[in-house]
Amino acid sequence: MSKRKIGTLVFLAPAVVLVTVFVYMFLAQSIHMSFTNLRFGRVATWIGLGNYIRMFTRDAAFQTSLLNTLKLTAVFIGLTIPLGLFLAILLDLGVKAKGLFRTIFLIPLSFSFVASSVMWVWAFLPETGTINTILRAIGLSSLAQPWISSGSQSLLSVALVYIWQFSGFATLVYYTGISSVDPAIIEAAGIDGASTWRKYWHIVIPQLKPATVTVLILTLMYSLKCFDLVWMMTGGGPGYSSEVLATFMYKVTFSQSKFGYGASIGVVLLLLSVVVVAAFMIYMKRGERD
Amino acid sequence: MHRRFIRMALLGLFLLASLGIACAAADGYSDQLVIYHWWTAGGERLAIDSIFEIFEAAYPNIEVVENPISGGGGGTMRAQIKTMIMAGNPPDTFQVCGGKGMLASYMSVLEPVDDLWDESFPVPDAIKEAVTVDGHQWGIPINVMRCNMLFYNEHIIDELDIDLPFATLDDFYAACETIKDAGYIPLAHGVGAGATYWWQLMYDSILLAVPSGGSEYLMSLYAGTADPATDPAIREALEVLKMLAENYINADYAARTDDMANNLVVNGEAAFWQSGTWGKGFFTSKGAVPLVDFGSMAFPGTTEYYMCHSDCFVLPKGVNHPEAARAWLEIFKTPGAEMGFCAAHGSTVIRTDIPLGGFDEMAQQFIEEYRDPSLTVVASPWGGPPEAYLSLMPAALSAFGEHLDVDRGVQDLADAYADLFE
Repeated sequence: MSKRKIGTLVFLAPAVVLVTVFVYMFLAQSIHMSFTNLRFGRVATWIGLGNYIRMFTRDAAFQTSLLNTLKLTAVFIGLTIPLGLFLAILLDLGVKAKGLFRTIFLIPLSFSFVASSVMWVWAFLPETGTINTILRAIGLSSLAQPWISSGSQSLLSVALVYIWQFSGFATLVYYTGISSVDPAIIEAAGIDGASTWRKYWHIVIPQLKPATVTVLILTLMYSLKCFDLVWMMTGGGPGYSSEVLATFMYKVTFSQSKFGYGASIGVVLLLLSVVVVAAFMIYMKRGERD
Repeated sequence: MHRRFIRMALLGLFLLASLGIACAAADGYSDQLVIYHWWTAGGERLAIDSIFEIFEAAYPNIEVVENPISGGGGGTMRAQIKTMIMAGNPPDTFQVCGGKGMLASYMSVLEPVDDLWDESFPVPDAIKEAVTVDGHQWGIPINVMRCNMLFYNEHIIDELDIDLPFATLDDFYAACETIKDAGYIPLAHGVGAGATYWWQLMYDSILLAVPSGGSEYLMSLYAGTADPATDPAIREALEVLKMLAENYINADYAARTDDMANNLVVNGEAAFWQSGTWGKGFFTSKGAVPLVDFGSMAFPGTTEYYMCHSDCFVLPKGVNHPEAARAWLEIFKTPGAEMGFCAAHGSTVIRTDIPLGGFDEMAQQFIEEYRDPSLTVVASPWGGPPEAYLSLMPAALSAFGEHLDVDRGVQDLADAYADLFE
């Protein structure tokens, strides 16, 4: 082996060791724990698929959390991607003070989730919050909502904050993607008589697949592991109306001391992420081959 | 190049080791106390600081490594503690809510402290009993708080000429109607940011007051021997909660935190707010004067009960510094530590030999209630039942607050109870 390869391996070794230990070994330990009935202060025994059978057949709270996670993911991704693309196209169309708008879109992303939560809780207060106060002030009091104090709107309220916080990131990624499209192709289309709308729809957007993959995977990752916003804004309530897998896993593990069951919820979360990302990667690969 | 790399690596290791030795030598401590608690702000921060001062003066050779972790009424700290203990790295001592159920949840990883409960620690038998499980004592408490309390805005009560205290829930409802007609919110409530245990405190207090409830029923509920699916007390208490939620509680309670709810009373928008005696600190921190701007009484229908909650420190198994940990627990028992702590914290001293002088009138009232032998001492939802009680049961109550369907509420509570004691 050449000296250069040895040097490369030496420098890679610490990172490989750290990832192996702190990711894969601990992951294996969690998976093993998920097949036991480990509780705090007690000896664990092997129960096989007991935890998994329980969660899908008799734990209504888990099923609600799973459904809420999927709903949150669908709303978050379903609105963040189109909104980010729309804002990126607006920036590309040459709006004045482009730099200022770029900065404004990115500012929410710089907030910590805790800071955002505290701010938005005050905004969402039904009686004295900013949103309902403004609506009443402009004569739209019929649109004032209970927001996070209602079981039917608590999850949507969390999703709105997530979209507010991440749409700037999606805008930036798409804008970078749009900027990298060969201007000669767009110019040629213009010469052939294509309208602005047709240029974006038929030329620019199809070339934004890598940007879409980036935004999709990152938003998917954040939505599946959503904890901070839910914990700080609603605590998963009222009832279990905004409970997601991450917050439910925390409560089961640390408040109820069921470490084995909590680990199984974590494994379900992992499998969910792997399945969705893998499916999308396969779809993208097929698209490239075509 | 290979030899040069090895030489540089060895030199680096030597420098790191020297730095470590130098740091250790510079400390001058012969022992260490690694302590975890959740008193991070306000009067609680001042209270624990007063104990640290006493401890460091008595034991200047022990380095105190403090780890304050706020959030969730101690839940965030307990999550950290469990992880540490399961990793075989327990702290020397940590804070926990005193009570049979809570201590039973941790008993398997604690050392008993029976020898610390001697004649130098004069406290009522009920307090000692609260930390006794399987014939052993598992913690040393520093304070006590009465949880079944109702605070009120003195100005609103005076303005509407309302007679206090309320012997029954019906007396309370009548007063609430008067308050509501005058344009005030009768009962301020806040369970926001996941603090659903405030629902549990209200519900458990109501369980004491309803005809089929009382102290024996509440204790059976905490011990796992009740049957919420069929016990009439559960349904009766839900009916009361429904009455309060539909008519007298602020509509935005689910979004408001406990502090935001307290603000309604402090600002003169609401008349009553349920809390434990620690609620006094919420008022005084905002400049309200006890017995001038606000007052307190037992929750309606619970005058004969003292729902007891205390803060304890415990001794985990296999700690690195057992002598320092025991020294800390001994300091906790002393009159000076208690007085300094409780004066700052707003809670009640538990030693019966501490005089009332030095405490304000409201604090003296709290101490007299604690020392009143005619009151029946019952556990609180924080200490009486197993730890998971405050995760499972409040979720059912929080959902009930949304739908207010008593039949569904009974079923949800029964399901949560079955999960708790499976």
